[in-house]
Amino acid sequence: MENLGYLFAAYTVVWIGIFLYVRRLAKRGRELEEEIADLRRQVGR
Amino acid sequence: MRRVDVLLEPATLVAMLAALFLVFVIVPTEAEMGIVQRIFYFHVASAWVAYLGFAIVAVASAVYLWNGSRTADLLALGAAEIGVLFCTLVLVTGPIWARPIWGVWWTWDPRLTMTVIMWSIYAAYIMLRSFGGEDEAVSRYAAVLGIAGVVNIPIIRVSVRLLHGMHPSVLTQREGGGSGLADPWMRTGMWVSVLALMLLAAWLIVLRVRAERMASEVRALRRQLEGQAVA
Repeated sequence: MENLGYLFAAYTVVWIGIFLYVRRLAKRGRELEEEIADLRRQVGR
Repeated sequence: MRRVDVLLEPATLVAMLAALFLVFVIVPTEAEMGIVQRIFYFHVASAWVAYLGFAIVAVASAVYLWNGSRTADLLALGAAEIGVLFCTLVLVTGPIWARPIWGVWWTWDPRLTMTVIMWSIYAAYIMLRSFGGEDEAVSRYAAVLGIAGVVNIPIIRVSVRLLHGMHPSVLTQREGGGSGLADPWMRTGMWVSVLALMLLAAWLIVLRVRAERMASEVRALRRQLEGQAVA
């Protein structure tokens, strides 16, 4: 039972890491969408 | 920021933290299995998310075959990838529980075997989509495979009862066995874990569909630029 705290800590670190990684992916995706829209405008000229 | 991101980001974070707090702080330790039983909260939740992912593949594939919707096709692909990811987590966390409880990492129990078959079908779906390219015929073949594969889900669900498998029924008490979640906090922990992983999966599917849309746009732009260069 004394190892439960370590297990909790490890799970928390991994889950927060996953959350931050997915959040970064979402942000990068939005930036790419804006870049593509900008390119489309330039090509369409 | 899009509305779906505004909703999914904080909801996923809150649900994940709540699940961790419940599973590791609030939920009592199961008397017979001890700490290792806590992996159920992630193993079972991952299984449900995988089932949901594969069910989305089947429904979206049926819609694609019916009306040729590009959105449905992309949704099927995104859901298949996320379904396989969570099914892999099921196949990894299961043996971690099985080794101390059953004494073996793996056994060819009906539910375990059917889960491996389901994982293989949807891994084949992803390979077909990856190596088949942009051909519309590939999307149609993959859609048929995506619909056929979902037949596995009810078989997996009833395999414990009908095929007399040794895999425990986690959410329901089995006759003569104590594998159910007896304490109300155990059930709460399970549902919150299921919610947390479902929100994470939904967010990943949204991102995956969005990335595939961007890839299509880049291909269209490239074709347009090549056309302008030739002219």
